[in-house]
Amino acid sequence: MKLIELRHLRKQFIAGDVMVDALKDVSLTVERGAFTAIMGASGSGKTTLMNIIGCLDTPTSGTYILNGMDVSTMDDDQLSAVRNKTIGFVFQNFFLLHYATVLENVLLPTLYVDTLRHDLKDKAMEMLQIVGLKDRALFKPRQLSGGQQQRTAIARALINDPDLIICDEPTGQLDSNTASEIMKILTKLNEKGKTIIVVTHDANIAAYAGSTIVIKDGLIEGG
Amino acid sequence: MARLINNIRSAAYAVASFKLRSAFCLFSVALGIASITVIVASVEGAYKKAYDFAEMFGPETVLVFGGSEEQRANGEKMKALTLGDIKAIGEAFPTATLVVPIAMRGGVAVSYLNVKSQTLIIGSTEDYARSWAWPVEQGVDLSPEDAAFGRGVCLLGQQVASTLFKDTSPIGKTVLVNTKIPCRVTGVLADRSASVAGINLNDRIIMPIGVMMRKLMNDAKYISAIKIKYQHGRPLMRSIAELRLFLRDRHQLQEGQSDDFTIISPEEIIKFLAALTGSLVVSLGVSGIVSLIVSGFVLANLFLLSVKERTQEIGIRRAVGAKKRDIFQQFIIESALLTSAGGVLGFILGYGGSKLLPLIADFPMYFSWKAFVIGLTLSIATGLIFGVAPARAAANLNPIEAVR
Repeated sequence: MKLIELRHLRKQFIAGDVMVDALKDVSLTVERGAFTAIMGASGSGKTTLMNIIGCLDTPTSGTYILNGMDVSTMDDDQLSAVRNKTIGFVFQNFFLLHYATVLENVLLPTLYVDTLRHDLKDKAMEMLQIVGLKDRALFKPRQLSGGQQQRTAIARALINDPDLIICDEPTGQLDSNTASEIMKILTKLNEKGKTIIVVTHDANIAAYAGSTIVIKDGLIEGG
Repeated sequence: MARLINNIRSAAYAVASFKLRSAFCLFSVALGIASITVIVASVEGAYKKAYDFAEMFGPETVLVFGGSEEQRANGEKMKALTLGDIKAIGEAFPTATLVVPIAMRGGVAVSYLNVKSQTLIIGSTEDYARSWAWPVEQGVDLSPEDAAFGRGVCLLGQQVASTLFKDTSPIGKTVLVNTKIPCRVTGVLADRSASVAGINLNDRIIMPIGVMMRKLMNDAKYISAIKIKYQHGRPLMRSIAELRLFLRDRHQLQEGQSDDFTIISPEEIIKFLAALTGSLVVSLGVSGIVSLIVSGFVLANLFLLSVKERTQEIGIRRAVGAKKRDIFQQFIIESALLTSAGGVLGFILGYGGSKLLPLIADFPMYFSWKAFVIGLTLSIATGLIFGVAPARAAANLNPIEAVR
């Protein structure tokens, strides 16, 4: 079953007085439960592609079906709701709130759910257990190593039970040992049924994925 | 609803976390609110004092002074009102229940045994205390016979009593006025501690007007003032208008000639006392509002800087599902929380500060819930108004830029 389907996606930017085609004509599908790597050099359009798949940006033309919904025609509020329910993000720079604890950082996506739930704290602790940080729940991010911060970010990405986890260079700030720890966690999550997309320029990282999409000059290679 | 509560929580958390920014905002708002608190309290104090004094003056009484306002201002002798006027008014106006003559002379020497002092001597009748609603506290009031026969008796104001007699009772003792007029004390007037424009009401002696005119004023023809108390239920303005025409006629004033007397009513006293504090209040008010506006700009500036600093935070909140509205709410609530806390702190500062103000000037202060509510409302309004621009900037940040 398809989780993601892109049809003839185009994205144009105006940079100064020049029109730039970041994505020219991209069509691809990602099956539910897949572990996919998107590779490409900087400027290839992979970040733009990731932003659109992550509902952080909208295509200039073309269609994007996510989980059966046409998200290419949604407005900002609707996209926010989709991100909240369906997508978890893991960024290269972790992007944790430095003034909040690990537990509070994990709970962040639950703040933007419309219904009130009372077992959220238990749920967050469960997520921290999955990434092996249960004993660090009340630490501040600055007291943690880079690997621990990224594991906190993964727990945050999991808290709302999203179908899709998008990782943007998740190991870019980490040494190779820590990087492989993080990739093992992602592999385990994929084995449990999460659809995972990793955006990277590192072939070693892409090797963890079941399939790789290579993008160059706004077009999918061989696609 | 759950979301709004969460946004309030996020705002409160951020306010507690960004301590330096919070402290600056808090104090800049608190200073503005402190001065506004003082202003509101002093406006209320001034009015309360004016009303208290009007109450003391008597709600249905007027005071007629000899001389027009211009003459009085120029320090000219006020030779206009006579005992004949008293009699005529009493006969012409049945609604005037009390018509009381007042003769005054200040700085007169008084003594009891070898204790000496100076005070204001008032010549009047047995109706003086009643016409000012001023009870006699010890002893008895002047009697009609005392006044009619010009007996050497008197009432003492509290201050004169305590100066001349210390702790002993003055009743029945004889004081010497102007070194030669013996006066037996029949009573002491109750305390009227409120001073008006620097005049101490407790510093006076009241004696029968006959004695005073004869022995202290060299049989002068003119008296200083007339206090008139009217029957309840008739509009005072009408009585005043009639009285004015009557006196003009009696004093044979031609058309175009200005009054040679001045009629003062409780309303005018309130107006006068309020105007006295008015100018001070205006200057304080302007500086209070200006300082609040300045603190609003300080707040807006710090928040705009803060939005820049917290670009990543905003980006990540947007990425995990916050709508623009959520971000706007969080930032505007942060701003309003800070300014309302500043408002409370400002009220406390203002309250404390205004305890010091009466030490340097006779400045009545009156604190009520009004001062608190006005201060709090203004502070929250400051937060909401000056928080809009930063909150909007935060909400409109592009999440892609923010998480780059």
